[in-house]
Amino acid sequence: MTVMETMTSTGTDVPTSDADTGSRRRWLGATAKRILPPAGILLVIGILWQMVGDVFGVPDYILPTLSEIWASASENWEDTFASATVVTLTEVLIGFGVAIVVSVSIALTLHMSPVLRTAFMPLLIGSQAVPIVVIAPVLAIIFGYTLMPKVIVVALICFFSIVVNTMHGLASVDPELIKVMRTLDASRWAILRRVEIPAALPSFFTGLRISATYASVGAVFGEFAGSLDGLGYVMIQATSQLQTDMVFVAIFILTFMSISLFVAVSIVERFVCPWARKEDRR
Amino acid sequence: MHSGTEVQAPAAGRHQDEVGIDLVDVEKRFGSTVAVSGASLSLPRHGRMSIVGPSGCGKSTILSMICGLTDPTDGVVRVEGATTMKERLARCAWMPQRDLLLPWRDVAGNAALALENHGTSKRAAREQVLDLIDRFGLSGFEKKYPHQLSGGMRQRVSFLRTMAAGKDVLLFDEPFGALDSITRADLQQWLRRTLDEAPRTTVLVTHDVEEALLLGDTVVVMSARPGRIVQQIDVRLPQTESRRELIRHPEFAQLRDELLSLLEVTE
Repeated sequence: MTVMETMTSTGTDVPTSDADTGSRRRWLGATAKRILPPAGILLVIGILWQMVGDVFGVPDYILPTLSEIWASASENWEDTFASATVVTLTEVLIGFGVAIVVSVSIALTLHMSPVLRTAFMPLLIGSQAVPIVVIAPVLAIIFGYTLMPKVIVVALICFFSIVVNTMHGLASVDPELIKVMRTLDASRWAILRRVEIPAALPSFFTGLRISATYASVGAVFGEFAGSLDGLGYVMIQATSQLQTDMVFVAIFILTFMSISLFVAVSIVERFVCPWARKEDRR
Repeated sequence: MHSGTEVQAPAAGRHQDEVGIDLVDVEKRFGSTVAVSGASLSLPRHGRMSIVGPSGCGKSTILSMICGLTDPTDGVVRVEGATTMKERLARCAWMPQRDLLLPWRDVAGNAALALENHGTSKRAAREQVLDLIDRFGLSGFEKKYPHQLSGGMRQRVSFLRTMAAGKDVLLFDEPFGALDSITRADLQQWLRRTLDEAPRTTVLVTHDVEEALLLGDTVVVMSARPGRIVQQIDVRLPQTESRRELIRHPEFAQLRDELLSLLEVTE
């Protein structure tokens, strides 16, 4: 749970509405402070990477240089990567969406019913012990080379952290606040709607952010198990032909996809629960 | 031990007894721990009672029992004639020490909670509390969020939210406990005035003797382990303009001393 907890604090800051020029300048400074260090590290890694190929002469089928990867990306973009990216992105987004709907339903149901919670919790945890790598081929056998098995794998890989974090959020409401609500004539449903669900939103988004980083991995697993398109398919084809540069292009696209999804979730969170951040700062 | 305080605002059109809150031989045990033992007290409708005592004397437990959040192990708790938890809960509004405002709702939204719980639409509920917000000296702050308010303001909103429930019985559990002394004095004065304008049956739990005298027309002193009622004292103080004058008054000083000595003995 510690990993999940620490992830709550990630995400970027935004200038507050009462931003005068002073606070704006401070914000720019703070942003620079946050962006420059990771940018510097990336630059150093990039230079070292390039040197490995150029200076030490590592062959490109083992580790292609960044310039070779870039060349491969622009050369194969239109006929290969563009469509593969669309396919994988579709799988990721649909799978992520399915995971959200299913997870929230499970979390709400288990939260409202202690009996069901006790009954299903072991099953829920057990489901995480089943290796997805093993399930993916079985799903491919059942559903063929369609979109379905990939969506299921993505959803399977994403749902757990959303369920756990959402349930944690729903249960985190101060018991005294529940009592106050009861004396304000709130029904069980009113407490859920007006207190527990809003209170659970920040945790729910923490779960979403964690899942967002897994989602593209899930799609690739699904594609490895059986597919005719997508970045995972491209990677398998390229690996067997020692086109390591192609593999790296796919990896970079997947990484970019994960980061974009993560950032998108953070942005939505800021709009949905702006109070969470301000409460923390108080 | 029963108080002889007059009913301040006679209940109009009420054919029932004028008793607001009535506890008869109430005992509350948590496992083998006796939290409250042999507690009997009664408060007329629209009377104001303060309960003082050391921590762990069961004063908050008494409040919970009156409120209908919990039932006594033994004895009877009656709130305006109601004895079941559900009926008591319907008549009481409870406010704890922490303001517990909903951070995602602004002042008006927080104040409107009880009305929304009664089925009023969000918009209509907001409209309805605007008048109350004004009377509570919070106009201009309707759209402020809790994190934008000071501790005293937040507590004021919490009072507002409690009052807006329209309950006849208000139960305050150390409502000023977390505030600095200046804000506390200000809010005590303000609450006195508010309750003068809109009388309710109130029970205030506090560990501050001065506060107990300022806000109660009867003060119950409790002792700890097990929580028992030591004495109930009627407060008859002259009408004064300000809180400061009242505190300076010799009769006030005498009562304060009496209460403090009772608390010393019990501790």
